[in-house]
Amino acid sequence: MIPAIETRALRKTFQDPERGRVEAVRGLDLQCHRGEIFGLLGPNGAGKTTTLRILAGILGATSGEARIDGVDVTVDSLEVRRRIGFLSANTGLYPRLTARETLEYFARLHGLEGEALTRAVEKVIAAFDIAPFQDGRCEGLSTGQRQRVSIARAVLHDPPVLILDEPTTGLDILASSDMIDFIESRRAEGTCVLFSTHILSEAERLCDRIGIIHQGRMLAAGSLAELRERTGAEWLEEVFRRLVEEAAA
Amino acid sequence: MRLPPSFIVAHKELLSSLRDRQTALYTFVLPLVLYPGVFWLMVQGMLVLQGQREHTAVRVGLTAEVPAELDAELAQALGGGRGGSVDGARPEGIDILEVERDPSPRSLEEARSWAREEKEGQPRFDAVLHRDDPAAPEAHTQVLYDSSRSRSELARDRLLPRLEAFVERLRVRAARERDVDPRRLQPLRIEEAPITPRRDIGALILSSILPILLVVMAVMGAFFPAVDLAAGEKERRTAETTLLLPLPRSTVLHGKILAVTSTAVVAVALNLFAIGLSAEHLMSMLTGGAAQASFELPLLALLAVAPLAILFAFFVSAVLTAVAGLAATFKEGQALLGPVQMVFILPAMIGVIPGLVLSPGWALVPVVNVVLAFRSLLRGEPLYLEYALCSAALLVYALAAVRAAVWILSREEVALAGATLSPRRLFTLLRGRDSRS
Amino acid sequence: MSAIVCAVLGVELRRLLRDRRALFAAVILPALLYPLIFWTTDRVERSGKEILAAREVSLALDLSAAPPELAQAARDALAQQTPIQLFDLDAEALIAFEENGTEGLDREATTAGRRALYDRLVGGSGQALVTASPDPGFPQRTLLRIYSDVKEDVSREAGTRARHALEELDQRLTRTRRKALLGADPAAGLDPQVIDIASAADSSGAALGRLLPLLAVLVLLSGGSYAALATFAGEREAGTLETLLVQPIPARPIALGKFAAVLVAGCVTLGVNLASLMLCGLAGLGHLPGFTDGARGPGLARLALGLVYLPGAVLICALLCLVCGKARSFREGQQTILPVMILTALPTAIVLQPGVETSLLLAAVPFTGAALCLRDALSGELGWTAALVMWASHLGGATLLLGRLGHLLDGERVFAGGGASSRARGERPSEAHALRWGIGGVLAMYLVGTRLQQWDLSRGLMLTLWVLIPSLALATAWRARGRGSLGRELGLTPPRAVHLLGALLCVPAVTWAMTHLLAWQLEVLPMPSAAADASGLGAIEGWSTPMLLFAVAISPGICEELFLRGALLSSLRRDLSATRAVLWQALFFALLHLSIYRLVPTFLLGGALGALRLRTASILPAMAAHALYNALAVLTQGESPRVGWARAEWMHYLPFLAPLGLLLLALPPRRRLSGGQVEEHRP
Repeated sequence: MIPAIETRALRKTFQDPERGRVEAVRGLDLQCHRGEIFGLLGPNGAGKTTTLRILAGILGATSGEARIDGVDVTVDSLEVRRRIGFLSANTGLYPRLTARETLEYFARLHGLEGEALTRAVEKVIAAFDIAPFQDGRCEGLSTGQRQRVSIARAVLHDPPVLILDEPTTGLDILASSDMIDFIESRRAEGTCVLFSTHILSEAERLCDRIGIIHQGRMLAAGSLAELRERTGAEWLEEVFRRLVEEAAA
Repeated sequence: MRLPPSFIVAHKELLSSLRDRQTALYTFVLPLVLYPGVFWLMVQGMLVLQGQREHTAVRVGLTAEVPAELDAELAQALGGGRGGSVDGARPEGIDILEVERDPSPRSLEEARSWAREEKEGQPRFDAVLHRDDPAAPEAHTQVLYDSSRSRSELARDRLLPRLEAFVERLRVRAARERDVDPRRLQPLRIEEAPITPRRDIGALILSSILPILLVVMAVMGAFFPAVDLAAGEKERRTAETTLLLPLPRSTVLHGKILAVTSTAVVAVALNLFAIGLSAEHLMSMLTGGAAQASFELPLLALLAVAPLAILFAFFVSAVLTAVAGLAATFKEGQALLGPVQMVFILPAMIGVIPGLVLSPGWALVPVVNVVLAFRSLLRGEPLYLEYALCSAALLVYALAAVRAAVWILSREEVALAGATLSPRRLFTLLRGRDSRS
Repeated sequence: MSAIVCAVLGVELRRLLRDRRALFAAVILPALLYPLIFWTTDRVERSGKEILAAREVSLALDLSAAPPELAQAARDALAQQTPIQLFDLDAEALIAFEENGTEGLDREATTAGRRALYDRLVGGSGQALVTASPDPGFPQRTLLRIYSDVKEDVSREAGTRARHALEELDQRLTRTRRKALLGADPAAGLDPQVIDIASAADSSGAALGRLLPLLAVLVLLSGGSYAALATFAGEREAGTLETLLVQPIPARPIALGKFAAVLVAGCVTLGVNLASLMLCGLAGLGHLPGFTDGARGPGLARLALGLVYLPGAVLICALLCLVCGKARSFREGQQTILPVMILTALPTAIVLQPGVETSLLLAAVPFTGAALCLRDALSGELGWTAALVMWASHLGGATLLLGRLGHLLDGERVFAGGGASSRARGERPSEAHALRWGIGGVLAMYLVGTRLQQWDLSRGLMLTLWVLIPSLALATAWRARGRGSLGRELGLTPPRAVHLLGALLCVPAVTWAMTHLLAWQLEVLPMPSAAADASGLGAIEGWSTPMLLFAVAISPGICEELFLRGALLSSLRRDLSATRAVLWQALFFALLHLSIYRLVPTFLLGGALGALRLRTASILPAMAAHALYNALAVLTQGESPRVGWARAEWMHYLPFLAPLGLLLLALPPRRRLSGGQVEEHRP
């Protein structure tokens, strides 16, 4: 079976005007499958966001390979974007469009038209309970409502792969638990979910497998049990610390 | 020595805005590169146009109510290249005027329709000269041209001096024939004797441009820093950090206004310097190096303007910062300041009325007083009382603006507002009937 | 594709329309401001005139030397310039000074002497003075001198009134005198009377055509920049750009859709403003050109012809999109608007110049062409060939810009290390370094070099060539050389002898080609006579031949090469391909000569010399070729060449040496690595 997401020896270097050459990702290997939730765990600046952006086809890789559903992201990034739903703290909403207009706009950009467009929009509006505020401008929505619109925007086209970059950052308790419920529900539907976080409890609760990433390298990947076994630590926090120390040594 | 806290704030604000590469670039480097570039382009553009004009040959038709011997001579005098002399001296192939003479008599109406005639889709003539019957009272030579066509204007401009020279020559010849000294034809000679030294002429030229330029530059120079330090602060979410400082809010605000003022002053000075540098060059290019003889820049007068200019920059900065503080984002701040900018620039236009002098009354009217004072200072008029009044008035207005800014902006409804204040809300705030707080 | 463009366009327009505050500031406010501005300027102008006209001036007279009846006539004429006060004084001293005292004085000293006497005689009691004396050239004629201080408003006004009155008197007296002396006027019926035969629509259109292009540019910039900032920079700032970029659509249609939104916004702003302007005109507010003296404007059909300006609008909006797309934030975008405004308004301002014809060359110049076509369309003079050329050049330019715009919305640029410009700086430091110094060099030439040469031609030229330019070269090379040697950075490595020879053999052919190019350029871009005089050898004509050769052949050959083909080219070559590096330095070489007439020839020459330097891996052949080229130019060109052999028969055959030269140059350089290529990648 083709993995839903696969990277091999993925590398990315930037030229930053202030810091000079930055190696954000240095040879990252990753695999995740359908119906699986994979958590990418790492401190700030570990290269999580860059990896996810490469997978979404908005950044090019310096070297290495990345495939979504067997499609190489560098070869056909448009096809890749058709197959993923992407959500991050940076994927904002247009403040002066209403929730419904936003959804319709992105549905249209996905090539939907007429009947199909209405159906798709109605479906997500119903699924995420957007109807009560669908005609309110996004700038006037609460954080939780905005989050729902964003999620609806990401899954509008029913993608087989979902990539979420720190999806609960900045959300209150209710909104983040909605988010977590949503991720679990997608797993049940057979979607592959790749998400990055630095909140360990979230990863512990949700993930089938966890990858620990530090300074652009994958230190270890596997189920929580496997990681515990490998490091001999009980808590994920401890696992994480040991792996990082190991890498530094 | 410890600096007063508002200076420390100003220092920090200046530092942080200058560290922004973009701001530094646009405030300091751009004028130095832009103005020379612009002036160079202007000079070269003028040269190209001049060359094109000189090498455009125009066609002129010549008719007369009563054709006469004179017409042939006239045609010859008008035609040809620059100078258009009868001797046939056509030194260079420039400013060519081709003349086609129609020997049959024509009325003015016929001449008009002839002037509109077309040949191969192009007008046949660029202008037509029609000589009235010289016997008629009020006889003239009609120069028929079309003001909507550039070639036609060119034709008119070449025709008129040549016609005048021809007329002059005819009269001189007639006088010689009668053995009269041609000089006697002109009983009077009028001469203007200049008594204005060239430094004063330089001052005059400056005093007609500089006052309004100073106002515009001060307003533009304070614009971005004001928006950046007031509204941008909120946008960057550092407003709260600033409010937490163990200082009165007024001190912070004073510091900001000081920072805005100094940026504005530096921007004005740099712009003036760059314009001065390249303008002098432009003048000398246009006048073929003779500019030095015609005027020189009164440097002392420029120095005399400086204190007032700084005071004015302070006033502008205070007003702009106060208004920009009402906005929540950089963008909104800009939208708010756009109209405010006009409030400064429109009155400045009043100040350029010739004949309007700085009187004690005018010295109290903001903006107009500065423009008038700049003008008088540049011309070296000794209006000491008025200057003093003007400075005092400016200072009072500036301090009032600072007070107002402090009063409005240190209210927490404004200082921490997440959205730009609507006029209605500001109004209720000003009337002190804020039901919500 | 078009569906995406439309979807983006629709959403962008909706977003723009909903931002009411900005909409008001950018679209509505200017429309409201026109009436205000027109009214104010009109009032200001009128009250300025009224204030001065109502001012009583006091005029001092000394007409004692004039014949009594003439003095009386002058007095009467002057008295009519009310409100005026006349008083007599004795200005004998001043008249004497004018006749005898000015000898040996220069203009400034004359003015000063005159001023001192004037102040003593008139002082504060009058604002101007009129004196009469016999004309030194012809004593039977009376010379009237008017003294006024142009710096003082009132004194200037007094002088103007005096001149008006006296000129009128002069005309009257001349006519009487002519009649008395000649009987009938020999030039009867020859006094010109200018009649404008343009139709009302044409002249209204022409008047409006002088104003509208500039206005169109400013309004388009105001409306378009607000839209471009919101759709590009604003989007980046609001954080919605990433949302857009993860959609499965290429960046190009998004860019196009956004551009279309900007264009629509710009055109709508233009429409609103135009309507407001026309209403102002029809309502008779102020002196709107084309609407004065009861004219009703050029009419709707004429205005519709103004649509010919569309490509100009497209180009402006494309430029705005590109500039705002490069900006990282709203604020940064806003700061770039002023340079864009100057860049577009300056070529447009050509319509303010009288007597400019729309040649095909001008029609192809961006913004200038569009402005001229709009002017012509309004005055009913539009030439269709010119319009076609303008459409082609402007739309072509817009297509180029839009092509680049698509790249800007590429994820790499958006997320990798900030804005596009800083990215280039970070990645290509040598190129940035060279460009900075290149611009600095041009500025130094403009501001310092020309000044030096104005001060003293020969010394200034020597200082420019041997001090200014070499210091620029050293400064550029010093920072850029890294760990390499300065000599190598400047290209001071020994070339192969055959290359040196080959370069020299090519020069006559280049001279020949350049002569023909210049002749052709003179046809297309005629030089004004004043500039043609100045561009000749002129002041250095008197120099001896060795001096001339040193100053304009050898020195430029060495010094200019050091800077351009040496320091700049080495630095550019590190980051750029050979072609681009050569083109850049050729551009700087061309700009360094500071004249539009030398732009193309020097650009081509610079390109050839740059290629020579890269080919031979040394700067010496370029130096030799440059010096020889200049030497040939000053020795053999012109009306009377300096050397006898300039017209010799064998001169015609020299260009045929070029193939041999090229053949020699085709031989490989001695070392594989040239000076510029040694450190292609610095760590």
